[in-house]
Amino acid sequence: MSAAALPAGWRGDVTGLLDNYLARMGVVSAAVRSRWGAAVVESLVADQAGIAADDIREEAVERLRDAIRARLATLGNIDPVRERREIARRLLVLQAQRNSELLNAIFADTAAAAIGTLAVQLDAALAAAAPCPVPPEAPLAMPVQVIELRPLNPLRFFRWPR
Amino acid sequence: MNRPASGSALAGGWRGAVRRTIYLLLVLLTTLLAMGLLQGAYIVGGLTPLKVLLLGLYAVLIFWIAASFWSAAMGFWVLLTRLDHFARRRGVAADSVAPLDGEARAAILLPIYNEDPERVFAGLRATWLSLQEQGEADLFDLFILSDTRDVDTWVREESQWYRLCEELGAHGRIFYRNRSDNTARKSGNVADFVRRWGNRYRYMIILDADSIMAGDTLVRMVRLMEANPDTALVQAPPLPVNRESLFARILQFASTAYGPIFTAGASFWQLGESNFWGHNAIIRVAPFAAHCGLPVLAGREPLGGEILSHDFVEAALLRRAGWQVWLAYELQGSYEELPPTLIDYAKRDRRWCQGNLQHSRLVYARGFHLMSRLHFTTGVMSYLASPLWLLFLLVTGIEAYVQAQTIPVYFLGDYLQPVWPVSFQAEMTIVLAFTLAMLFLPKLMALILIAINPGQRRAFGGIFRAFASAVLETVHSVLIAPVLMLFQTKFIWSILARRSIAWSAQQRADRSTGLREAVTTHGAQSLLGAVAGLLSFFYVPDYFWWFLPVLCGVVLAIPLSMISSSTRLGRAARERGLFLTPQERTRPEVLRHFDAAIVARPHPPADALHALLEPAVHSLHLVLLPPEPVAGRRHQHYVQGLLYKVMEDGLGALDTPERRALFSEPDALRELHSWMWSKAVNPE
Repeated sequence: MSAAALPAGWRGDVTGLLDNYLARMGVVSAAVRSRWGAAVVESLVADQAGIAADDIREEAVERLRDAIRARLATLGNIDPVRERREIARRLLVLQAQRNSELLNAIFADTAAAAIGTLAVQLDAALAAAAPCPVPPEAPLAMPVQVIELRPLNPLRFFRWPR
Repeated sequence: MNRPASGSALAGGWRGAVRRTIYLLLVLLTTLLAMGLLQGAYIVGGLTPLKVLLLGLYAVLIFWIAASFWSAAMGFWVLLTRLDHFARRRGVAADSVAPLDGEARAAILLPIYNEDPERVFAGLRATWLSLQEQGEADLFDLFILSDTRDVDTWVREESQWYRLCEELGAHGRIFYRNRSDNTARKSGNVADFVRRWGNRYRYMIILDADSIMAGDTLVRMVRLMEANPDTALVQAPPLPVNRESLFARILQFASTAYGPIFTAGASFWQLGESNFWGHNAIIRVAPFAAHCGLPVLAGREPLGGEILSHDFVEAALLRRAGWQVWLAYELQGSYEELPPTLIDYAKRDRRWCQGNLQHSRLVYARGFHLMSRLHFTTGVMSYLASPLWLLFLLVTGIEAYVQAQTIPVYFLGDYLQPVWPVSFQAEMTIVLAFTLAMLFLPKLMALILIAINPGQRRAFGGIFRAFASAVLETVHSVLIAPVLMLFQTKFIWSILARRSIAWSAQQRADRSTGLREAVTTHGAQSLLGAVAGLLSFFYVPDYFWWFLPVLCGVVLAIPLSMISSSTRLGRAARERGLFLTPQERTRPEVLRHFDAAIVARPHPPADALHALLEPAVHSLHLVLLPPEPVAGRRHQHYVQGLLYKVMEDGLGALDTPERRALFSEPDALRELHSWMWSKAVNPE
């Protein structure tokens, strides 16, 4: 598929979609959303020769989510591919209403100097209220019991035990 | 601690023996008396095989009624005099204000399966908030043990759990897990908890999806267990609440008004060999783990296979191991909800019926306590009584027909005085009156208890309204009893014909029964009733009038079912002070918490796909999925195929196991999330 196949207004369409996605995540600042969206669009422009028209929106969302994952991986000094569950956990905590300020700070400030402070704040947020679906296991044996069934024969039931 | 410690204040001893002996004697004497009355009517003219059959059936049925009656009568006496030694002892333990041992940790368990998450979590929120008002709240954790298969419900449960933890600041206290396979259903669900986390807790309190329990009650239950180290299980009787339909409100009234005398009576003579009703009960974890691992019964379903009604069996296994099981009827603050309509009530019966019939195989199993065998028998009889009653009615009709066809002989031989046919109308009326008295006297006893207690009188809207409600409830119960008899007979027939049941979730929210549903469900019953009525009217007219109360319910089943399902009529009755319960008149705090939670519950998303469109919900689902196993290539292709199927034809193209497979794969879900945002659904 060549670049010519992409629909005429795809940039505006994709920008709106990404803006919507970021807003749904809780990014308040339109300027910040626009900056993240523009970065994704820019990367799509660079690669547009290899993207089909039908896939452009999906590709845009994928790239935005990759960028978000990369940002969080950098903050937590974790692998963005291998530790996707941990990244999802961090993203979840950040999307809580009480962490809205931190979420917006993380998306707004890309300066390397701020990373240390934001990472500390994110760790604090995780420690305060991270999702904890189950506690550590403390196993207890539960052996299957034997229930010895007897036929419904009253004569056998009342037989005197030997 | 797998053997019961000694020194409990609740050891039955000689009191137990005396109570049970008196109870058994009363039941036997009553049965003999009733049999004597009936035999008096039958003996003249000789005993025919039909009469013998009738006497046999009546003996079983009247024994069953007498057992229930005397249990209620004992409950009446106990509640009237407050002379129950054991209830007083339990009260002392539960009312203690001494700090609880820090090791006496309790897990509140909520096993759920495809239930309405918004309703379930509203109940949990209420229970948790009520618990937080207690000083000992830190001893409790809460586990939502989901066996849900439906992915829409699964994703909603997760969102509800997270919301609850966030809003109540309960991360690390309220837990959620969804089992990847639901082996052994509810009992397997609880066993999974015990095997994985059982060692963290001394007690577990099992709730049902519609349970609500006051925090005070939860703490009292723990105190009770702490004070009685040889007790493994204490059952708190749940009172039905919250329903609005006329049918459910009538049953709510009946359970709340009459229920206490039955539970008090049962506790009075069953003592430490009481039963477990499956929820709203506290269980000592260690003995439960040691003795309640349920086996699979030999043989095929429906009577073999997995044990369906596990609660009775678990109580019996605990008792077999020497532990006590108590029904603490004096515990308040324990609630549940009833099915909203007659049809839903019958559907619930269908599920319970198979489990209870399965217990017939356990009655003679080796090693169980005699009382446990009695509980099994009671469970079986609660359903088997229906076909027995039907048979009794049928045989009575045939006997009446035979009598009607007999031509009286007025002059015998040379004897000049005519021999008039003997009428047994009076004797039969006495038998009927005797039977009805045992059925309806407990209601009168309950009304007396309400009448003599000013607080209760007010709580039920005054004695006149309570009396009027009881009269109307009696009419209702007379009408629905034959309908339930036909339902239960059909259930037993289909179960014995080895037609097993699907394990479907129970209908809990209020709803109305439509004409089509009513006709489909009750049409055959009404037709049967009409035919039976016509036959008896033309061939045995005397019998017809005796038979009429039974016929009315069956013939009117369709309108009865529809009218009684109406929430409008239910509310109208409440506005007129009918079928009022204390919980409706003055909402306990825990139910007020529930009401607030129900009002504030979020609107559920259309389906799991729409739910996962939300980035936060998507992240949450990924976090809660179990660690990713290394999937084989075939499985990866399978999931990829499912993904394409959804993209082409929507989520509806997948069946439940396929949906579950897709929603268990993080990579597929990530792809689906991006795809949903880009194409399928307008995210605005």
